[in-house]
Amino acid sequence: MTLVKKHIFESSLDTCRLCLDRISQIEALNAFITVLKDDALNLALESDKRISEGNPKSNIDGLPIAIKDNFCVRNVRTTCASKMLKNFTSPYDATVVKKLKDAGTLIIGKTNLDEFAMGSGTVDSIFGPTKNVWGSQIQGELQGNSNFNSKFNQCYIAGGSSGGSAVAVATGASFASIGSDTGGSTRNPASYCGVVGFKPSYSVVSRHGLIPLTNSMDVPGILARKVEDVASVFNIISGPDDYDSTTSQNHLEQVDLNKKIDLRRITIGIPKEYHSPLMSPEILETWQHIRKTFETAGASVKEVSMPHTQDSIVTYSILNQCEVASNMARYSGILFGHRCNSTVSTNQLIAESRWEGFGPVVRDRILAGNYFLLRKNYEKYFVKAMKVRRLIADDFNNVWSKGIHILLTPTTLTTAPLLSDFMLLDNRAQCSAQDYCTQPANMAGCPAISLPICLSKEGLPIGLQMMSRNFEDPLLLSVAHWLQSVVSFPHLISGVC
Amino acid sequence: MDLFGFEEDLELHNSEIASKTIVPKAVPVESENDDESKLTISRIQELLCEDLVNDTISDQDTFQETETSIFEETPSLPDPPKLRSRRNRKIEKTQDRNIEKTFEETSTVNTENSAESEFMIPVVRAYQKPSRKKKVLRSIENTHVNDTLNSSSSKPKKNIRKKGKAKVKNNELEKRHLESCLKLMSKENIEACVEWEGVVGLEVHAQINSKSKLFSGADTTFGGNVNSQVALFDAAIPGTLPVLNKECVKQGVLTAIALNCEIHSPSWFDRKHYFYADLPAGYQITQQRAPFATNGSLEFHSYCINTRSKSYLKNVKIKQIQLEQDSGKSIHNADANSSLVDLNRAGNPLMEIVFEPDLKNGDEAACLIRELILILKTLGTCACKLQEGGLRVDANVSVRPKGSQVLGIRSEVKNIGSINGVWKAVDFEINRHIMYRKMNKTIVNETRAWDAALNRTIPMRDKEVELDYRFMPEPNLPPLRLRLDENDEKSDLVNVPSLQKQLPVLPSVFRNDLLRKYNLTIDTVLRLLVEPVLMNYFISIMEENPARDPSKISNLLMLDLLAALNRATLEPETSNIEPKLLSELFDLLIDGTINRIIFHRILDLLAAGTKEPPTEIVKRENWYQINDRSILEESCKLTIEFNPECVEEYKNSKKLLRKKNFQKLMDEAINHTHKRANLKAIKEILEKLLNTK
Repeated sequence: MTLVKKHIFESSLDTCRLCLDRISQIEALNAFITVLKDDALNLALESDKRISEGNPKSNIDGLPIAIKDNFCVRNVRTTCASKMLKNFTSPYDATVVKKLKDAGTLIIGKTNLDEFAMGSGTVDSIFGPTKNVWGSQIQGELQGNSNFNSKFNQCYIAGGSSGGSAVAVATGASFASIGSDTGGSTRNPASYCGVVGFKPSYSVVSRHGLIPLTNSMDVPGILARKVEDVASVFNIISGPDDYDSTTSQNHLEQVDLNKKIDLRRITIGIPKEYHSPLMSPEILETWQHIRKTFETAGASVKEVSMPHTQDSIVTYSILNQCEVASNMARYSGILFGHRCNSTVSTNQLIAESRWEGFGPVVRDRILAGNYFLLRKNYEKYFVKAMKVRRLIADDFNNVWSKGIHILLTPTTLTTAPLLSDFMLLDNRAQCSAQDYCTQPANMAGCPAISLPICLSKEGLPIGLQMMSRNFEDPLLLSVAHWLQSVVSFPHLISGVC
Repeated sequence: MDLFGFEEDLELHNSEIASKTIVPKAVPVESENDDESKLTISRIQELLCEDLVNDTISDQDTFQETETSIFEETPSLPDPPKLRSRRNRKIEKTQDRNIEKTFEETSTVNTENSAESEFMIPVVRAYQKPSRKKKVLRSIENTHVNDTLNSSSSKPKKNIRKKGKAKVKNNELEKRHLESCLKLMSKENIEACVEWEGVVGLEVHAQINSKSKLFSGADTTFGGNVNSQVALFDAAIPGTLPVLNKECVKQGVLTAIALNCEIHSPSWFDRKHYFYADLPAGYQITQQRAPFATNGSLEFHSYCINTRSKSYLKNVKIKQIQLEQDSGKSIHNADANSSLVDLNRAGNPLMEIVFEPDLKNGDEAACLIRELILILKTLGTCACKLQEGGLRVDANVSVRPKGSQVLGIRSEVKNIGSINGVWKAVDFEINRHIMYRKMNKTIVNETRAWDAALNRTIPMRDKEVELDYRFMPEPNLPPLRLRLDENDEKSDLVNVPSLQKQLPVLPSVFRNDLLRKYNLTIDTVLRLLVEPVLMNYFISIMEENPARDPSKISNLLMLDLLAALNRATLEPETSNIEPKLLSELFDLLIDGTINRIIFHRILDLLAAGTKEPPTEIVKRENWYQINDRSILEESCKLTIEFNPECVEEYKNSKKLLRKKNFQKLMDEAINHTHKRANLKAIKEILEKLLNTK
């Protein structure tokens, strides 16, 4: 049984057309960098043929998927929203993309992000910021027959850095989207856009073809409206990959959400350090509400302590910048990417190409990273940061060893900020506030999911985050699936859903 | 004809260069100043130093000198004039690097005086011959100072031109010899001269013998079309990740076992950052900080490359062996102001073997590399194709007073691509360091390159900048784990104990076996081993018939076969002469069936590819040795009869001329026998006849 049949539309061609229509309707939100209209339509025809012959490649055969523009798609421009790669056409498919193609899905377009995924707002893109659909002029209808967006005409950030992917899913421009998550880049925009954002365990999904930000924390993320859709995509893209030596060789069991989960055997942990003074009362309220929901359902809920939580951001900023400095070294303008006109010398060519090709955020991080990696600073910053990272990971291990199955926290401290407010802050301040709750999971490598719970008084989505022990992705998705059924978040009715 | 004309032009051109360069150095401008006009010794020294620094003609002359000697030995090299002209251009280009020439010139001066080694420490030599030194000091006052003072007037130059090339050379060389000795005049230098010793540490980059690259599936074959063996990862295409080639790990481990290393599990890979056009990722992935093998050792026989003096055993410690990627190649086109990059080599698997600075000179360094190559070839872990860059040597060189434990400031000579180069580069650097120390010049910690054409090291660019490579762990590779425990059944890691069992017979063991089995001297064995093919011949010939005389066989192989291959312009390793034919031929010579002349003739035929057994050839051509004394006597008599002048001259002259005439008569006598004469016998007979008549 393919999901297409379960959805409103009979054929994947119709679904694809609808998504393409939707993409043109939301052009003002700037979610897509590249739309692969013709390719997707052609593939949809093939897919319909397969499905009609009873031969679908997978249960998501024929469904349109949007890919964050830091994943390589063969013969498609892959920009990372940077001038450096503005004209870079990838010669190969990322493993995630290849697996999705092999499963019969249609790559419908490449979505906007912060330059090289360095941000939490999808604002630092050479293609301009992506705007949140919530609070925008886009008209629509919400599940439960309430009108959508009639009273607001504000510009909120979509969150980031996978903002384009989140908006694509929220507006029904794609069935699911692939994002990347290094410090919360999938969960943060999912929370702001009212969709599910899942960061699998590190090493469960191949990073081959994901243009790296921080290799040791990057994980391809999945965005969809429903947990079951996330699970379908996850089942396709997870697993070992010869091209990524850091993928775990153990095959993870396929996620099956039909299995009923007995909540009485689940222990939920509430880490007290996640109570940030900057947290908005509404978020706190939602958090406490869901805690009670779990208790009512029979789960035991415990308060736990993870004392190094607040160190995560500063640790991350060092490790991230070091790896950024290193990863960005390949952009010299010699083999690919932006190349300046200077012909004075090779060094000059490299220096000028990099100066012109990178935005200020990227340049700053490269500078800082190289500073941290200097021989005289290495022990002082990089090594220390690695030690703190170990402490943060140990916090998680302690919690798991105490019998906690799921950690329940907010995803973000507030609902989506206004773009105008957000732009007043520098990149560092933006990230440190946005990534507060999401970052530690990347340090530990554990799976984490952001689930839309309800709307705020302003009508903006509020999401909560759940985390579980490394490689217990199926359990996490099952619990999220249960919670989703309890909260019934009012999705925007449009597109494929 | 043309060539000669060209040469003359060149010479003229050279002297013009000389005049251009010498004139500006004129002293008189300074000597107008009264204080300056008193030439103190130190002032002379200074001037001479400047002289050396700016002197171009002398440079070329010394090159001529070294060249001619090379050409005499191996006539197959290109014509000297052409080569020289090419070099002249090079020299003009490298004028800015003249400081280093100071040393080189003085060193070549010594070559002139002694045929031994141009790399001997000239100052030491001078010191060892005190009588010459005195003479030198005297002559400095008389001739050389005047010469320098007068060099502003064109007179001496004209003289030089008139006297012709040879004279110029002699003058220049003598002048420079004086100069080099002058530098010794200060007391402390003389005291210090014999006391310096070189300290040499080698780092060898050996390309691992594998089909694909260290972290990608691209082909590693040498000589493919430009940029045709480049995987996406090798070009650092964004999003690609390294995947470690297990085969390379195996080869590395095998090498480490053979070099007595401690093997570690886990070991790590790091990123070493620097920007260069042929390093696409902007970093090299290397195990430099946490290698898989450390604390090894290698014992080898060292001997003087030049004199092949008696060898001695030397033990060198190995600091570590690390796996790492090679870089691509840049090709610079200065005329078009552009550079091109070939990435075929980028990502090739290397093992870097880092030796402790336990060596003292170029001989030891060259012998170490020779032994290492033997080991790697035996293991099959590196093809050791030096000419293809498959094995490159970096030499860290410093000097210190003999007996001192403190290391001096070192310089690093990068990417030496031949054993000969290692030998020469190391000795050049040691001598340069000693020279600098003696001149109280500061030695900079710098990277230099070996210029094989110029026989010297030259500083590479950016020598002032000490690079900070900003090491960082490679986050895309898990730690490299090896299976150290034999009982660990289920693991699919590279299995160290089982590799240990696969270790082939190493050259040292092999050598000892040979020594015992055939009663050869170690030096003979070492020489046979220089060319593995000789060793193979030796073994098959001896195994075919153990009664053969091993020392005779080894001599025939080392001297006669090698010479024959050389005449046929064949590389020894490409020789495809069947051992059976060779042994047959050797037997024919040893048992007296044929003489040496016929032996060489047949050897040449074999080298040219004949498959006919030597016995057959001898039979067919009737090349049997003539031992019949009457026939031999007959031909001697005939010779004497037909060459009365020669006989006369032989009788009336002494030494050389006598010898020459005898040889001439002998040759003719042999010719009378169709070169088949028993050489020893015919010589005896001829001598007897000549002396009795």
